[in-house]
Amino acid sequence: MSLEEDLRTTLHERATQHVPQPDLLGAVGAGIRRDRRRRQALAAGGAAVAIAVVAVAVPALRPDDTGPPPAPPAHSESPPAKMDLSWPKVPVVAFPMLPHWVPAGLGEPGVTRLGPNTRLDYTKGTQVLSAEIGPLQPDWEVEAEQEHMTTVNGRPAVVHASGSYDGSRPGDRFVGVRWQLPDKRWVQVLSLGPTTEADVLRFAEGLSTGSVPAPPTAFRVGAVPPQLALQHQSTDTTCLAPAAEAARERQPTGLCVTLTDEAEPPPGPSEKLSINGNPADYYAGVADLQIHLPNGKDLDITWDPESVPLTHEEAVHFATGIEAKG
Amino acid sequence: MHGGFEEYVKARGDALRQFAYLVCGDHQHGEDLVQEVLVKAYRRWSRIAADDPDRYMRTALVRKHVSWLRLRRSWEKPEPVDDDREDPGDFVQQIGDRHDLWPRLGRLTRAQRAVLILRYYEDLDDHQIGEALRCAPSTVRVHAARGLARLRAELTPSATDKSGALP
Repeated sequence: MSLEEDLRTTLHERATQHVPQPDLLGAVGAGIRRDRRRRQALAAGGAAVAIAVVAVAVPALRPDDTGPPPAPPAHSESPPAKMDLSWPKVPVVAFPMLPHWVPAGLGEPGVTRLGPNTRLDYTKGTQVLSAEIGPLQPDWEVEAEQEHMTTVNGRPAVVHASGSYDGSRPGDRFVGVRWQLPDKRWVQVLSLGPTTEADVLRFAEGLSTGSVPAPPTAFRVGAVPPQLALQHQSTDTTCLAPAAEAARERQPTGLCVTLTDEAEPPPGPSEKLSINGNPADYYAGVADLQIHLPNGKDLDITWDPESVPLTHEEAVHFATGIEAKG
Repeated sequence: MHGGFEEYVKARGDALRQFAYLVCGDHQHGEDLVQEVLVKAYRRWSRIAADDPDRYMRTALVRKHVSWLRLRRSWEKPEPVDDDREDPGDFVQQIGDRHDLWPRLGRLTRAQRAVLILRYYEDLDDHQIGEALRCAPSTVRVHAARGLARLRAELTPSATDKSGALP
């Protein structure tokens, strides 16, 4: 029996173990009643907090205080604090190679910034063909059944292949090829689907001078705390992190904004805010600010307080500068 | 309580508990997780019920346990595993290793564990797992490959992880 089969068996055996359980419906009913009481109390307290925030923070918006007094706010909008935030000077995200041949029918590619690396993805259903380039060596993603050496444009390269992978259909295979450029950057091409090894190598050989720009993102970040660099960018997520972290981490980290269908509220109470006229929840304890957009989607702003220690005012100012498109 | 919600909890409560237990590795934590997610789901049950309640609950449970912040934090490392195990040389030892899978699952990162449970218990594909965990299918495959490699290496100490092989 393979490890995967053992795992499947173990999980199903464990899940069906009989354990005495409390009355779930009763416990959930009690939880719903507690939740209602808590929300009613928070709604009453939240309104008071919002008014207090406006009253205290308005002077901070006018440090030179030479003009006429500001008009009273029409509603409990949380004002952005005045601080030196600016968009970091980073180049437009683009995959820095141009594929001169792509298997037919794969459509338009996506481009993702992964720390110092950049990845180009073609997807069609469950079929994937990707190329990644950068100083960090990417993962193979699938365990290889066979490995062998080859060359890509004269550079020694290793090929990982497997006749199947989890979720593969008849005729699908995994093929990965990795080589290193003279400037020490790694290039890796991965294919999951029916593409043959010969075609994967043809695609790899065709990566040459040129670039593929990233498609438009779902929102624009306008004001950024200093010393942060672009660390991750995909259509729905942008992350900024200290430069050293952005240079060594492929996975999203630091200060991240994600456009999502429905942000998961973290545990604990939130402070009710209004960001650009949209209702928002600020969860100070877990470094999370969620803005509820009119189209039903949420902008979820999270940050790692260890590497990006934002104050309340900085978080609100940053959030105010985000412009959702569409 | 909303009638449809009550019926759902009665019909699917045990399945939700089983899934939550696998995700958490602990019955009490799993129970707390299910209750918390159901309480929040009640607020918008009409919207959830009109779509796919099982998918919503599965996603909410796994996201609650593996919050995205934790998923993407590089400092969440798997716990060390004892290296004083004898070399598994016979069938009896291999059977013992299979029984050893459960505690060793608990030593993976939360993301690795969640991916393996969604793949091998819920039978979701990488795209569906990525939607649940809010990450790309390629990230799902990385978590799965690393989790499986770690389990395999620990069950067979002589095996080596080839994921770092260089050209």
